[in-house]
Amino acid sequence: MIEITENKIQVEKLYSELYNIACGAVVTFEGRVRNHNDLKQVIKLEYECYYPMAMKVLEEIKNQALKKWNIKKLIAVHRIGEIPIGEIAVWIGIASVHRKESFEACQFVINEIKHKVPIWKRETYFDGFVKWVECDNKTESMYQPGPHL
Amino acid sequence: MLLSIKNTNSVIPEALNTKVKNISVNVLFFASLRDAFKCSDLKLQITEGSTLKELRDKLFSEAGIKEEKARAIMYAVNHNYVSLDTRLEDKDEVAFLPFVSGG
Repeated sequence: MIEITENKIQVEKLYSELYNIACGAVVTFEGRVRNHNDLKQVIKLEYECYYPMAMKVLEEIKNQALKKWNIKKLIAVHRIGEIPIGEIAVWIGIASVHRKESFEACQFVINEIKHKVPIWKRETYFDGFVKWVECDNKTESMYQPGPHL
Repeated sequence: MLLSIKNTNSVIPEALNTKVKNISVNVLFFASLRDAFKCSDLKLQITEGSTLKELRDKLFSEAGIKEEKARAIMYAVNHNYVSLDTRLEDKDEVAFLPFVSGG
């Protein structure tokens, strides 16, 4: 299950989706909005996305994880719009028979999301300055602009 | 001037001026690039056979956006990441994407 939503992420519901009596391991990751970045106090954070492409890339990431690891369930939800400090922006849950697969797949999914999914965040700081955050942290599997650019 | 490329009937003849036929593409801008271009999308007519690089160079030049900014982006056509040498086709959806920052 993958989802991009403007609504608050309902963790209890997602946990129930992961339930599987064949699975001895459930690993989850919550990415939360923190109140600072680069030594500056963040008072507001908004996410926007290129929705059709973001869903397509998320689906590709999910399929890669399902192919690479023996996992039974995979959930990845990203919230967009304005998100209050302290609330969850991204939630990933993996269920597998043993823990190793879930740990590895969970880390893979969050890394891939941060590198590939067309979602951007804009931070507003205490002094009123507003900045789009752009992370130059692509992975090898992604198209790399060359020096000719 | 940026206004000259907002026109939905604008043409980029320099791309391949031996070609006669034009194609239509929809160009999308996100996040900081939307702010820089002061618009979220442009419907453009370009010369058939134009590459993404030719389109990119033209748009950035007309908008007066610095080359350093042009390097800090990725490109997608029809929801797939592509390289700048991609040849554009009629009705392509071209997206200029700043480095992503989700998660």
